[in-house]
Amino acid sequence: MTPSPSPSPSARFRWVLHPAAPAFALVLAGAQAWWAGSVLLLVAVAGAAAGFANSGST
Amino acid sequence: MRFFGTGLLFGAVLVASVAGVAGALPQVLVPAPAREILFGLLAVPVLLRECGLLRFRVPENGRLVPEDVRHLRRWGALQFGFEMGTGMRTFSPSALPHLALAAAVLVIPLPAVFMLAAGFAAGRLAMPLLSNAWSDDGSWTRVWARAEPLVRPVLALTCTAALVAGMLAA
Repeated sequence: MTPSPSPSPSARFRWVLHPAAPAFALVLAGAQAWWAGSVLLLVAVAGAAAGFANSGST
Repeated sequence: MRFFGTGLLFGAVLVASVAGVAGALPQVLVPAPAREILFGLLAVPVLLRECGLLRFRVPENGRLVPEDVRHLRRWGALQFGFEMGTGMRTFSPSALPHLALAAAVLVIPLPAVFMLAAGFAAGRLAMPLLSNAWSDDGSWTRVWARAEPLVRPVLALTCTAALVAGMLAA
């Protein structure tokens, strides 16, 4: 019986490229910006979420 | 991709500048509570739309990438990025860019609209970067389509909450 091949490093970390990853990263960034009380960061997070939400347009 | 990203940033900054200047007058003349209520009245249907609970069309200039842009290489990428950054030459599956624009006019102070633009350009750039890194066959778009029912409401809640928090903190 041969052991199943282990996934390559690039395949292992492919989940980072999934659309959910940046979406949840933005949630964390927004929470961090709110915690820090930074209006500029909050606004940047809002802009990034708006920009990423249009991803289906190309 | 560098030229596309630069074009995105220029386009987004241009629109944000116009919105910020256009919003300077109402932000001075109209009391903050009235502007905040108006923004809230806009945000609720957008949030419901993004969560799939409400359906309505948003203004969009539904045009595909023209063939000649691809032949112009760097300048083509810059031009196309600029046009997409303005949001005036693309399909708009989401109403969040429209909400962000409304926020720039109604509740976001002028200096902060440039951060809104930079964030928008970065978020818009993420898609081709992720797609190219995922595969060469464009299959990321199918991954996006499968993830959309989860990702779209998360992005809508994040965007709206961040705008409201920014509005209240400003």
